[in-house]
Order: sequence, then structure tokens, then C-alpha cells
Amino acid sequence: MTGLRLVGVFALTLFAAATTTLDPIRFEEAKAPRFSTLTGRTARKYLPQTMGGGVAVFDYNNDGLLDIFVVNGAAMPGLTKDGPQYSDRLFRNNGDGTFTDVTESAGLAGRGFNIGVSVADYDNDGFEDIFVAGVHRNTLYHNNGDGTFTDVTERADLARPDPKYGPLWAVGAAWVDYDRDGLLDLFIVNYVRWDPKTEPVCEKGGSPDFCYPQAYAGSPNSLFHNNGGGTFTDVSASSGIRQSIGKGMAVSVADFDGDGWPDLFVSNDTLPNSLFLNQRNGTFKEVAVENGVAFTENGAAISGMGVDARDIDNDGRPDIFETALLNETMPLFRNLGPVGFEEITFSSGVAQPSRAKTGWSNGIYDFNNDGRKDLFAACGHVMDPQGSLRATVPQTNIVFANLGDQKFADVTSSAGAALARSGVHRGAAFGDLDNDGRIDVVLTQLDGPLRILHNVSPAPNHWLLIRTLGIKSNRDGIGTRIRVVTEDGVQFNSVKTAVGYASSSDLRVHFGLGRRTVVQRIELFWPSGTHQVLKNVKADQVHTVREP
Amino acid sequence: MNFLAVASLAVISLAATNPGFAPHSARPAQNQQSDREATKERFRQSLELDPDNKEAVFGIARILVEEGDFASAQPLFQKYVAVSPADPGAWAYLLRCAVALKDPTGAADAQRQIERLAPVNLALHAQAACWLAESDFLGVTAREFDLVMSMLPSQPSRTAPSYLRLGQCYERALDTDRATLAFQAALDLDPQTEANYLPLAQLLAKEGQAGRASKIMKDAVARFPRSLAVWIAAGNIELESGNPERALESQRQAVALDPQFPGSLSLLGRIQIAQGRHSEATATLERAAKLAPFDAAIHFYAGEAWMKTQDGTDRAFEHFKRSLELDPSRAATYYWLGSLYFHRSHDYRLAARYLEQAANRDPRLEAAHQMLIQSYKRLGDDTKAAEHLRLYQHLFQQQAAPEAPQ
Repeated sequence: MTGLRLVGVFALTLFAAATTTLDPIRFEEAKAPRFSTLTGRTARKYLPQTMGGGVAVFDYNNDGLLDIFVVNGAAMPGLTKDGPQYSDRLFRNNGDGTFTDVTESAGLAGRGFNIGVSVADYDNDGFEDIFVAGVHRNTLYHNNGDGTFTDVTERADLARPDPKYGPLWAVGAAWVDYDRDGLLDLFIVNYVRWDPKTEPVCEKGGSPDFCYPQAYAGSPNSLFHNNGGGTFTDVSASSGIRQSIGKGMAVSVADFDGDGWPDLFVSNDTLPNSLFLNQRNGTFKEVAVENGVAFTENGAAISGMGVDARDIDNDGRPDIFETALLNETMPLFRNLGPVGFEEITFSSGVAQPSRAKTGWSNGIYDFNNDGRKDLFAACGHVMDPQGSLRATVPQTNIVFANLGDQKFADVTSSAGAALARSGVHRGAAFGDLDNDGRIDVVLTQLDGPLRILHNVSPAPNHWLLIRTLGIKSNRDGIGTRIRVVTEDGVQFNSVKTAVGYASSSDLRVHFGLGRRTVVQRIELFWPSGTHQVLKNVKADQVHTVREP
Repeated sequence: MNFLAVASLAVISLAATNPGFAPHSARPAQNQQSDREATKERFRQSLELDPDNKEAVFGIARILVEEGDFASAQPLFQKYVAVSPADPGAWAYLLRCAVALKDPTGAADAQRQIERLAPVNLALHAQAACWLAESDFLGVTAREFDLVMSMLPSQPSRTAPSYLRLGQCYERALDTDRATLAFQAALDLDPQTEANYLPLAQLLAKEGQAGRASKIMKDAVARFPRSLAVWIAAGNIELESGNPERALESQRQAVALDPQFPGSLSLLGRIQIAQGRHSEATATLERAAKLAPFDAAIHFYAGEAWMKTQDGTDRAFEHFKRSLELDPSRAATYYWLGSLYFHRSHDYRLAARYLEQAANRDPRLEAAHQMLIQSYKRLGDDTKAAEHLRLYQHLFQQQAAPEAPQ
């Protein structure tokens, strides 16, 4: 495992030198399935109404095309889906730019006020399953492999309320094989303790509006160990996860300390972020403060929102991109290895453009396939779109191009008219919907239509999508770290679906290859410990790699 | 955790009370010291002649209290009250000693005596309650505080400063409930004095009671519409309460009264910072700094504004350093300089030096400790990093205790 990092360190500058001009990033608005994330709007404001909007892109029917699943709100304050307008939805990708609503036949209409979604094949049967995070109610759907799903929450033992706090408000989740036993475990991000009966009344500028998070107590996150056989055991306390009380908004899984075991970064709203380092014995140690990722340079906890952790400078260490509230900037933490992280939000050029935004779901992806991972954040203010601050609530999204040397440029204004459209954006899922090698973005808006940003970046760059199939490892290969070598240098990435806020992204790992048509070497470090090497792999394909 | 709010509120006070702040001269303190030594020597000589000289026993004990030598003062006051048991002042000093020496029995005894001997002496009880604010003697403190508050209905407006001071004592002791009651009492007694509005409004704003704070300052500006200080304070309160638009209205009123008053520009600059208009903020605060070059707070805010612009790091350094020259007492200024050295210059040695200064001045400044952990890790000093991690965790656990899981 150490070798992976050492090789990466000296390879770092090679790729940056390969492309001297900036290849443009362009998106166009594509026709999206008809759907709006409803918040159960009421005159009185309830905090869940400013959240929600989870979206997933995944291939539920194994036809090689990414389908779309969106969660939905409910009537308030009862938290009930009292009509079809509140239904969660599954849209099957027809492969021609259109989608078919298959919610009813799939059995995924859902119940309650749902916020987020996380997808993975938790039972290793070859079909992707769905976990839906909601307010006081979570749901695990087992994919039956025939286009239908079954609610197995009770059977999986995931329906019990928290022993101390009762039903928790889950925002999102990550599937992670934290003990590397070949079965995906479930980490659930919980937000604040909330009860409609005790919802405080707040106002902004004389109008009723959402209260700040400080008005609510925090809650612990949850970790469930996959026992196999379709059941889970709550190990939140024994693993040490429960000791940290937060107001969790998102989680990103990565091997931050390079020891080969998956670690967890949780962004918290108005509380210090959490970094749970895997102790390799079923427990985690929270070390965000000592590693410099709990706060920004202001020394204050920010309103942490979405998070993605990937290697932005190809030095072999996953870095962290977090979104936050208007005027807080969107922190970028560079992983320095044993001494922790340094915040490079200012020096990277991300601070100024992001300061004017409230970011939600986000991702680190190479949108122009130049071999350097770029940044995208879905934006929209938290306050009531009809309140006194309504003019500032809808926001345009933001995209940064990676210039190399840990520098980024805000290229939103040149990324197409679709990026000029404002909205109350929340969820964003990243994936290649049309298998053309360019990463598209599916966006949700509160009380607004679903959006698809089709990536039409024009540079004739090459790419590779790697789909991992675990044998000894979990079947999705989640947690596999991948090192790719071309003539331009080295790149790193890893297999995950938990990306951004409340959302779940393409399982396949994307690499932009610039002008290179062949990948000289691919190394896969599977969670099982298996080290696999592939040589001379052609570019521009979805390459499935089976664990040996 | 909310370091920014605390830091900025701290500097508000500085701006509001000390527009031309400059370091104190050391000369008066030296004079005071030599006067005290001379008096002490005089009392010593008296005691050599007559060891039971009451005046000398009391006098020397009082000086010992002023010097912080409570262990030596306590037996002298005990000796004094053995001879003059009806002097409530002596019992008050014994209370002071008991608080400092963490002697709950002594404190309870002294409090009973003061209450018995001078049941309606507001000044004495307010002072006793003030001293008790820093103690852990819950029962005695509650008794004395309640006693002072029970006197309120019969007090004339001129006693408002006693309640104001009481509020300050409890605010320092982080007992915000009692501080609020005392500040409110001062305001109720004397609403004709501007100075009685601000402490209460600031405390409420700091505690998240923005609506109440705002209402108090609305009352203040209604009563003192020609007071520049009140408009500025009202603007600051609105700003701290997250209402930059209302702050801007207050600022406009202040400008109407005096377009050249640096405090108005300073407030405008802070509003612009809050609104994310950092380039405008730098211009505004540069103008303010020209008008009031010796105002530490204005330089502090100018540093903050420059720090948030893309190429403003050098200028931010200059302003923070100037602010520090003018007022070397503020933990927040050391913190920002440490943060700049850490994040922008990557000079971890200098960062640690400034951050240590910040932590020394305000040991509860979590932000300084957490950045010191990072600085020492970068410097390879794991022992110091671990020490600050312990301090940080201690502070954080104190805050998080009510929410700790079972």
C-alpha cells in the first residue's frame, strides 16, 4: 500500500506538464424526465423543506446504461406521501436520450419525507440495491433482478430507532466495506434531532423562514455491519462512530492515510467536520482536528454541505472538496500525508468564485478528459425561495477547471448556457449517461424540475471507464483503488458511489486520458488485498475488470 | 466554536469605546506601585508599635488583597473581625479571600455576616456578588445575586452602574443568564443613559437572541436619535445578528450625522465584508484607516477584508500588524496573523509564535489551539501538538458535554 503512494509522489508533475492549453468544459441542457422534488411547501417553515433532493445514477437492470432514481419529499408536517406527486421515481434509460418512468412496476414509490440515496450491490447478487435516507425513516430496497425491488428494511434490521434519540433524520449514506470481509457495510449520515412538534419559529427580514442549524441539537452517525444473509448489525457504538455528535450532511469514503483501509470524511453543518480513520480492527478514530480538516483557515466550523474526496493532483493521496454556505467559500483540503491536510481554497483559486455560492452536492471529475480532475458544485441558497431573501435563493451552479499545480479556474461562464440557469439546486449525481466517455450531471431542484447537464466538452480527448467486478471483494469492487499510467503520467481514483450531498454516482471509475489512446498500465488494489495489473488497455471504452 | 462571532464582538467593544486606542503608558502603574509600597511600610511600622492596631491590620490586609496575596490577607481580616465583628466591609474582604482561596465555608460565613450587618447596602452586595461570580459556590452565589436583584425595586436610577458592573462580572464568568438579568436591571433603572443599552444588546446578540437585541437598540436609537455612538452600536448589533441590510440602514443614519466619522466607515466596511463585497470593503476601510490611523479596530477589519480578496494577503499582514502595534492585547489579532503565516506563507514557526500569543491571551480560543496542533505537526514537534490537542479537546468537550452520547 505504501508503494502506491510513493510512486504517485514523483509522478505528480508528469501529467500536469502534458496538456499546456485548457480544454474547454461544456454542458448543454438535455431533456430530463418530468419530475420535481417537492418539499411540501407550507406557510410555516419546517427544516426538512430546505433539504432533500437526493438523486442516483446507476444501472439497475444491467443493460449498460445509467438509470436515474430520485427521492422526493412529503406533505408537512406529517411527513406522509399523501399523493403521487410525492412519489420517489425510477427512470429507465432508453439509450436514446429518453427515459421511461418505471417507478410503479419497480415498487419504488416510497414512503415518508426522503432526503438522500445511496446505491450498491450489498448482497453481491449482481444487481444494484438502493438505500433511501429519510426523515425518521430509512428504506433498503433489494433489487430482485427482474425490474422490481422489495423493501427489506425490517428484514435487514435497519428499521430500529436510535436507542437514545429515537428515529433519526438521515441525509445520506455510503456503502463501504470497512472491515474488508467482502460485504458492503452501511454508513448513514444523520443530521439534527428534529421534531415537527417542537419546530422553532424563525424569521428573516420580517418573513417566516428556515431556522439556522444552531437551533437544533446534533445527532450521531450510524454504522451497520453487513452480516451476510441480508441482515445488518448496528455497530455505531462499538466502532467508535457514535462518539462524535455532529450535524452530518454528507460522507466521502477514501483511504486518506494510505494504509489500504477505507476511512470516512463527514461534512457537518456548523460543527467541525469529522474524519474517521479506520483502525483496521473494526473501530474508527476521529481525527479531523489534528489533521487540519475540521475547520477552514478562519478557525470556525462552516456549514459543511456536500463532499467528494479524490486525488486532484495525482500524488496518490485523496484530497477533499467540500461545499458550504454563501460567504464561506468551498474548502479544498490537500492531503499532505502524515502531517495531515492543508487548506488550499485560496491558493487554488477556488475561494473567490465559490464565496458567492451556497453549494450542495459536488463532485471531483475530469469533465474535459484532459487527465486532470475538475470540480463541480450544485448551488442554491438554503433560505425560503419566497421569503425576504428570495432574490438570492436560486443560484447558478459552478464548475472549476483543473489547471494543474493545484490551481483551478472558474469556467462556469464559458461552460454553456445550461450553466447560466439559476435554480434551487440540491442533489447532483455524476455519471456517463450516454457512454460517450464524458461525465454528465443529473441535478435536482427544490420545487423545480429535474435537470440533466449533458457533457459536450469538445476537445478530442480520450477516456476510459473501468467497471470493477469483485470476486473475493464485494461484487461492485467498491473501495478498489486504481492507478492508471499513460505516456502523460499517472492518475489515481477509486470505486465509490457516495459522492456529494445526498446523492449516488456512477460506480464506474472515469479517467480522462488527454491525447493518449492507450493506457500503458492499470493497477487495481482491491479491498481483498489483491493487486492486479493490466497492460496496454485501449482507450475510449467501458472496460470491465474482474478480480482475479 | 463560534470564534468569529466572539472575536468580532470583542472588537466591537474596542471600536465602540476606544476610537483612538493606544497602549497605556507604564508610568502611572509604577507610581501606583511605589505609593502602595510606601503605605504598606507605614502600616508595618504601625503594627510593630501596636500589633492590634485595627487600622493598620485592615489597611495592610486590603493591600495584600490588591496584590492578589489572599492567603496572607485572610488571617489578617480574620484578626480584624475578631475585634470589630460589625464591620461589613471587612466581611466583604473575607468573602473575596474565600473566593480566591476556594473556601466555600468561609464564603458562606462571610456572606451571612454581610447580609446580617448590611442588608440593604447595594454597593457592598453588588461587589460581593461580583466576586462570587468567579466562584464555584453555587448556593452562596445564588443567594447573594438574588439579594442584589431583590433590591432593584427600591433603587434610584443613579445605582444603575452597580448593576451594569454586576452584569459585566457575570458576563466574564460566562453566566449569561445572570449577566442578562443584571444588564436588564441597569437599563430598567436608567434608560436615559446610552451606555446602559449596549452591553445588554451585545450579550443578547452573542447568545443568538437577535430579535431582543435588535429591539433594545431600536429603543436606543428612538431615544437618542442624534447619538452617533448609538447608531453605530445599533448597526454593529444588527450585523452580528445576521442582518446586514438593517445594519446598513443604521450606518446611513450615522453617516447623516457625521459623514467623516471613521466609526461609520468602519461599520460600512464590516457590512460589506458580511455581504461578501470584499473589494469595496477594502476601499472603505482604507479610507477609515486614513481618517483614524490609530484605531486598532479599523486596522483589524481592514486586515480581515484584505485577507478575503485574492491578492490581498500582503496588505492584510500590514493591517493586522499595525492593529497589533496599536493594541497588543487582542487575541483575535494574533490569531489572524498566525492563520496568515500558516495558510498563506506556510511559515509554521511564525504561525506558532502568533497563535501561542493568541492562546495565552484567550485560553478558550479553540481556533488557536487547533491551528497550533497543525503548526507543531508541521514543525515536527509532536509533543506540543499533542498538548494543544488535549487543550482543544478539553475545550470542545466542555461545550459538547450536554450533547454527549450515553
